[in-house]
Amino acid sequence: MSNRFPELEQIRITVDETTRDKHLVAVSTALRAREHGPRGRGRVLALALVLALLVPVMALAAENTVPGDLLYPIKRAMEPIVQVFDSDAPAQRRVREIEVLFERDAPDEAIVQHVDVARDMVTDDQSALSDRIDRVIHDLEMRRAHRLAANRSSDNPGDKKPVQDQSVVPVDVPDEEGEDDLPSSTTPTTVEETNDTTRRDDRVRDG
Amino acid sequence: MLSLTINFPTLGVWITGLTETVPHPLDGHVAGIRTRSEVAFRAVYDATADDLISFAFGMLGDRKTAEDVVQQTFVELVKGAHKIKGDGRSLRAWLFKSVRFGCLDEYRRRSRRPEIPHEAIPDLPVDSDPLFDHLDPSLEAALNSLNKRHRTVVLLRHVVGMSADEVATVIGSTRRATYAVIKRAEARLRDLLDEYRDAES
Repeated sequence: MSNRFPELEQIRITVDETTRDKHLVAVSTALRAREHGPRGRGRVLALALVLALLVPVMALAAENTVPGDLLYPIKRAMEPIVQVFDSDAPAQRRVREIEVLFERDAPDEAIVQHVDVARDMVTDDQSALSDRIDRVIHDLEMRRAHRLAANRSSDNPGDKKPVQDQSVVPVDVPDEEGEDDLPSSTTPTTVEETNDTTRRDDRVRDG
Repeated sequence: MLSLTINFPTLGVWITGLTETVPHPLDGHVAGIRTRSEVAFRAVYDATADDLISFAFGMLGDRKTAEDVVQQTFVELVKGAHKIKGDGRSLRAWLFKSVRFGCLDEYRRRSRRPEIPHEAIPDLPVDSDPLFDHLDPSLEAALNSLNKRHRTVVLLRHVVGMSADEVATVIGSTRRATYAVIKRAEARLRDLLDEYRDAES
């Protein structure tokens, strides 16, 4: 190979048939093994890594959501984990959600529906939470009453009820004049809640 | 007449383009390697195995281990086939780099392995030709006295027959630095060979 180093000629060797066959079998085996090999595993690992990063980010983003928000189901899905650290957390979070819904002027149905959910979670010994729910219900009723009154004052007497009035969930709060022209299809829950609220208010006042 | 109208930078690009488009025997197999075609792997093996084994043999002085390193290189090629870029030259350089790393790994393994005294090795019947036994003892001693980098460049240049540019690609160095290393390695090997021959005589 080299004129300058004729001694190196003896290093020059060739592959014999046996070695060649052995090597080519190794190549074939590697080719077959690779078809479902580490590349596939690499993809699975990459996916696992993305999920591992995505889950905490989504959980954080979902933390301050309320029912109706896109990420709210994630917040509920993460709740068992939160509950491990703080067993009262779910009830507290539901009550806070009701307050936020009210602050955001959410539709009455949505708030009332979520009050039911919150009531199921709040236990008897969590009176502070019960009081917060009662306050929201009270505020909600006041808001409805104001809304009805506003509608009525803008109407001409004897006219049909305005269309937007029908969207308001009926509630059994008697208006100032004691007229019984409200629809009677009040949701049972609301009746119960209202009565309950009154009872609780009494209890608080008595206590 | 046309050449008169070409300015210098254009001519430079043209000459560079001309030298780069000189086909390499492995060019036709690179696509096959990337798509994991067994035919392409066989073709590349047949085209390069002798050079690779000679290089590994020169590095390690042991034919059996040299063959194992070359086998491992082709298995690695299968694993990294989708990452192979460039043309046939790049593929050939990749193979030699892989063999070189295989040899360096083997050096590390040997340095960790305890030395077995010659008396402890029983005389076993030899069915194959232990080729290193046929090497000139002065060459064997001289190669063992070279440092790994010098040994690599000397073998690539004078056993495989690579150009200095190809050697530079394999050892991952610049062309200028590689030229200098080759010169020093050649001088050192010449001195060592002379020294050992004189000692023998």
